[in-house]
Amino acid sequence: MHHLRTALGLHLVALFAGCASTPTAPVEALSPSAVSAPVAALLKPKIHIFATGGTISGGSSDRMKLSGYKAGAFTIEQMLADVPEVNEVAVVTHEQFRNVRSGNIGPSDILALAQLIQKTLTDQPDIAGFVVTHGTGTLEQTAYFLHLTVRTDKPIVIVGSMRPWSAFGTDAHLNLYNAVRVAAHPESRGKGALVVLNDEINSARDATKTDTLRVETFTSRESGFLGYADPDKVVFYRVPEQRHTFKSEFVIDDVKELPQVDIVYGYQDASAAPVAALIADGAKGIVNASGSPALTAALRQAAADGIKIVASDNKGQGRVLNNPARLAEGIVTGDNLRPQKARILLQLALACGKTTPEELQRIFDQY
Amino acid sequence: MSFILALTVRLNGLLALGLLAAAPALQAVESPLPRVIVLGTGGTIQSKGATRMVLNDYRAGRFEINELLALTPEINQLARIEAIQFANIGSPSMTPELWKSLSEKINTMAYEQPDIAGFVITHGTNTLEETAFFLHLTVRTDKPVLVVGAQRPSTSISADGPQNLYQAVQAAIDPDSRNRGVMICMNQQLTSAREGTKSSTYKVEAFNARDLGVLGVVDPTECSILETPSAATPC
Repeated sequence: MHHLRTALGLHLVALFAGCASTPTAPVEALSPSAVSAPVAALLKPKIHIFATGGTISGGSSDRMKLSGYKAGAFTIEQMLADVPEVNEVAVVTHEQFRNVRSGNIGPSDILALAQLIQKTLTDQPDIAGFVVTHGTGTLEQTAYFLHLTVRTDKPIVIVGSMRPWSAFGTDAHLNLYNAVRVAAHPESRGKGALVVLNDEINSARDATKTDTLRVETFTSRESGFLGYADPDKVVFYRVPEQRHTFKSEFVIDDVKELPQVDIVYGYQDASAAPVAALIADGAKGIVNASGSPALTAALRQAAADGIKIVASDNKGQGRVLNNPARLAEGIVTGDNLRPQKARILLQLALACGKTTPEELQRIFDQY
Repeated sequence: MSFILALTVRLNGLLALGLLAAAPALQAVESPLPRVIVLGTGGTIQSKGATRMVLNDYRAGRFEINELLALTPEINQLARIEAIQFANIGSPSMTPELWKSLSEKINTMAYEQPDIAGFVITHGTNTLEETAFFLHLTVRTDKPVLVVGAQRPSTSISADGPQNLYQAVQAAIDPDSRNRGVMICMNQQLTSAREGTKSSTYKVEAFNARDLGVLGVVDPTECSILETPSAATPC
């Protein structure tokens, strides 16, 4: 029984023998730091980080600069060296996927990232969860795309920060630490992709950046948070209702590119000109954020001509109600998705061959 | 009617046409409307102001529960309503004894009458969240239980009460409302009884779960659930 004399082995004996056996060596508390390194690795979940850049990796020589920094100034390796505490929570591996401002992330990037995560899931089944670092400007778009396409119940946490990595009083360090914590937490499983900043856990479907500057910028508006990464523990209060990840019908393994879908913004007397211009530019679908008489007429015509139209809204909150009369004209209502997220869902639906108004309405009702 | 129309557009063209044609015939052999029990306990929703411009002084009288329901006859197109005037008090007068009776009444009815679709309870908003939470912890059914109130007396101009009550019945008959715990239904929003709280003394949007948001919304043609409470429902 020699092989049972490691601390872990004694623990196993205790488990299976109902704690009846007398240990032959002092039994230490089973914290990861109390056991040898290889054994510790067995006890902590393996979390893999894909870094894409953004403010979270931003830097400036002046630590008082909260703006005007350079995004992607730090590599994920350098960032992790500044927060060694993540290693108490997980065995962390990483790769530098991109190192750009979030405005420079586009359809080919998010497609490649989703496919890479899917491949990593197959190649490394021992990974327990993923973290994606990202600029906050378009974070919710990438997060929603992953939420719709990556087939797994393992946590995928997308994280950013409002202040650069090097700034005095930055939120970046704690955000990264909490992202790893949430990705490693068993209760994070099966809830789809998660957006974690400011100790708050949002569903990737509903998460949206609501302020240009504040650290508490990411909320899910009237849906509220799913939970918190609190100082004492990670805790959940809500489960997302709409389809995602392992319940998603969208398989993108062989998709080469996402079709062009653009957004038009409505306001008093908004011109219809963007509609024709976007279609001429190659748009296969258009999402409108509210409208005007001219816009509405142009979109109706576009729908009749086979362009896929999704009616969203510019208020920032609340559903666009189902409308059978508009559906009969080929116009789908976008539920409570922000226009930039309705665009992602429409791109994905079209890429996966879902093109009829009825199919698209079902998709917008379910995802 | 609008629900049936909304349903047909989800099917493909031919089948949709067929169903539309058959709809009137289907109506005739359809099962009766779902049964909803409305338990009145009182509150502003069952209060009267001296004139319709009086929004915050409602000592002029009280509505008996059937009298309140009569303000919105359309409610009878949603469900077969059975109304019980359990109490007719301001909510600061609510007591643990009344909580217990209310909970037992719901449990007994849910157990003895499985054909009941759901329960709606009218209540004053001041302590609504306390009664709602007590019910959330003690009611043993997965049938929807909606607690509803109003910020304005039901005699007032732009009264919120009758519409809230109508929406509560909409939510009570929706199978998607089942097994989500007790919910507070006001201002077209469904809030969890666990975290729901009155956050304003007089605004119609007073009830929310602060940063945990709403569980769902009750929109004109349908009830839409946005998320689920992750704690298991007592059942």
